[in-house]
Amino acid sequence: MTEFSRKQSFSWIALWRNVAFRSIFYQVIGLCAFLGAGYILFRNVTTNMAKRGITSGFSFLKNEAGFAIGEAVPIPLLEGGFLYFIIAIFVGSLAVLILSKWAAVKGKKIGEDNRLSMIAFLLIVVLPGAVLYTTGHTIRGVTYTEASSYGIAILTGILNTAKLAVLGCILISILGFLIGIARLSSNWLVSRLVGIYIESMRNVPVLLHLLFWYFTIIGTLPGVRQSIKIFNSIILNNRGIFLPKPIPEPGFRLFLVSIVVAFMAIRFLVRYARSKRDQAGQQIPVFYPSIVILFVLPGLSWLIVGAPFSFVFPVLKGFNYEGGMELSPEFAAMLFALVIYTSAYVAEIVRSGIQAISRGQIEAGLALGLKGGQLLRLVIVPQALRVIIPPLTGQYISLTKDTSLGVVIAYPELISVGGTTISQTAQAVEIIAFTMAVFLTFNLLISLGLNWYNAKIKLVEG
Amino acid sequence: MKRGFISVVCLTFVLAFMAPQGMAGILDNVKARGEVRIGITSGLPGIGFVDAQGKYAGFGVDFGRAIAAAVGVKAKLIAVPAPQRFAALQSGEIDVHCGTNTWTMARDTKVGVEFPAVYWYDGAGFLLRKSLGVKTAKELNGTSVCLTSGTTSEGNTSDYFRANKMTFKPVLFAKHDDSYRAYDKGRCDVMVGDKGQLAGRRSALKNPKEHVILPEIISKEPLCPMTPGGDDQWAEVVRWVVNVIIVAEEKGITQANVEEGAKTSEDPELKRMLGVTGSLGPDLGLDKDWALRAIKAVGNYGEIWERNLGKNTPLGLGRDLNELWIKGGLLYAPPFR
Repeated sequence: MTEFSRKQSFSWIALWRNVAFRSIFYQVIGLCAFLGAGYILFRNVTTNMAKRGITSGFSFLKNEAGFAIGEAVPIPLLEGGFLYFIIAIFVGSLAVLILSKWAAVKGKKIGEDNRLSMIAFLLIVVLPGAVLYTTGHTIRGVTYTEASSYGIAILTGILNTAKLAVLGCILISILGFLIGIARLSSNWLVSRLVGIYIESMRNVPVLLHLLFWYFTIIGTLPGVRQSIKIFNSIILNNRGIFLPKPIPEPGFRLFLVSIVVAFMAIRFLVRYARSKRDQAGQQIPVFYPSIVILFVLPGLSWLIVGAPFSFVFPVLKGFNYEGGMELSPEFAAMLFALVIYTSAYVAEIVRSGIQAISRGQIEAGLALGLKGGQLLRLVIVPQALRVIIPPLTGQYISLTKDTSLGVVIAYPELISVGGTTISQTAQAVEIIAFTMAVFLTFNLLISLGLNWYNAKIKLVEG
Repeated sequence: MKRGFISVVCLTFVLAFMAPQGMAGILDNVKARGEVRIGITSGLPGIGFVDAQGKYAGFGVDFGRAIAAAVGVKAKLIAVPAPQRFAALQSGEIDVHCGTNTWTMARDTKVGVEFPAVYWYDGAGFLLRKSLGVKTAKELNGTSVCLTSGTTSEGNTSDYFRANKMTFKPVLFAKHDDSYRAYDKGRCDVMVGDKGQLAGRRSALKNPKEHVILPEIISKEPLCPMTPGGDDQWAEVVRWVVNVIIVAEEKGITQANVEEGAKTSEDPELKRMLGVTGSLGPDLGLDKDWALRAIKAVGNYGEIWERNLGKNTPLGLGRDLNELWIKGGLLYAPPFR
């Protein structure tokens, strides 16, 4: 190449005609315009807020909140046992990640190799478990009081939201699955009744569900003095459900260990049975022996070192029952309404997932001589899950978002606590932005988890 | 809550898109629009509620109407729930909020709202069932308390129980309607609110005679109309309308005799106030008949009180602190000079 020709090759027009350059150029312009607009809007917000005397910033999070919250979950402090536990989980997961990379190089998979999966199990479950077991007594939690900061108040709100969302998602999965299968029942009455349930629950707005169940619960349950008592230990009134509270006794640690050992034993049994089936074609009973193990080992520990728990019973003191575990009517109504509403949707998803399996698959299973339960477990569910999981993610997310309606019936979730914080500090922009960020994080985590699961169970071709 | 969300979104958008320079005065905007947007509390009998005729009525509503009459425009009444009133003012959705707005230091200094004048000296108290047999608030340890979000009652209740080394369980609703409904259904032992509000709500309970308001007052609640921060002229208009209403009672001017009084009165201060002499109205940015119109629309303080809260209403509230200063109360308006 000569000097001349290189000069010739550079020209603005030629550059402009280059598709790759042009597309990058447009993207850069677009990005600049977007950032510029964002900057102008941000500057306007801050200038206008200052002009109107509205305080901004997040320094209020350290100030004393001074209001009370109806139910508060203790927040574990990031120190001592809890910190070690988090570190152990992190280290364990990292080690498993490295292990899987190493296995991939060797052309193996953790899930298929017995020894590797045992190591992974040790790293990811037993290691954090052992750390928790040895340092668990040093975990300290802080429970919200009026003297706590706004930061702790908002964290308490987040935990209340999370408590409702997690429990709700577990329950809609179980209930939705059962109802979905019942919808396909060959029993005419069952399938029709379930059909009516699904259609009526799905087609009523969730806010009405909430108000209806809440005011029905507190309207029909008796007052504190006329409480319904079941065996004198479960107490039901319009202030909530009160249950005996288990308190760990000296036998608790061995009891815990025995449960872990029982589960490990069952895992070995399952693996043994599977290899026996694959190699010798023998079916070994697994289910009943597992149940025996699960009861006998913890039972033994109970016999040797005594009861793992003692119970504190709720007693009437002054205006209400105290001691014991308490389930507020607000939480109960939220959970109940969200679960029956969303599980109707889940049921339809499960039904459609099962119906998506071609008839031939089921007939082939029957031809192989599989029994009803086996057919469901081995043929139908694994294939249906692939259809079910993606829309199910949507239902988990909508349930999580619907928990924000708790503010209407006095459940102290994030929006409610945020509302009080706004009314006391007037920092609406910051708190609403923060609330949005929290819900976004929750829902992205749900999507991430279920997408990972979906990728794991998807049909592997070839 | 939906409304709250909309308010906050509006606020953010207004703050984001509004040019940082040059906010036109609210008074000019109101005159140009031909109506003043008045935020009121909804669902508090006697204060701001829908009456038997299906119209908004109440103490706050009357003051809102007086402001509209003074400016000489129509009053557009907008019900704004307690937690959203600040955002509604800041975003310009309403021009003034005439409800049970407690003047506190934090709200005054950092919320971006103004409290032009106190129009009702109230205090928070306890409403509970007679059947509980509670005689004083000191016996309330361990009770469940129904509260409405975004009110000073939330903080007041916490302060009172903490100061007396007692505990309570808050049950916090977003709307007054729901908190009183839950109280009525027995979810809570106690309802906390400003006494005027409790009296109003008690009259709407299933069986008002079963409930009692304890004598204790646990807080000072100077209730004010509220205007957006940063507009002194508009705050002055609202302040002086309240003063007109108070001074009218002091001078014996009523809805019925105000026109008569303007023609015949020899009292120089009254003549200045009613625009017969001087230029107080135009100096405020209004015309000279502003005070006359306000009084003609709703009457003087005593008339407003008796119509909405007094002995002949279901609330049956006495004037107590809200008596004129010459009768030993706290109502004291600066001179019209």
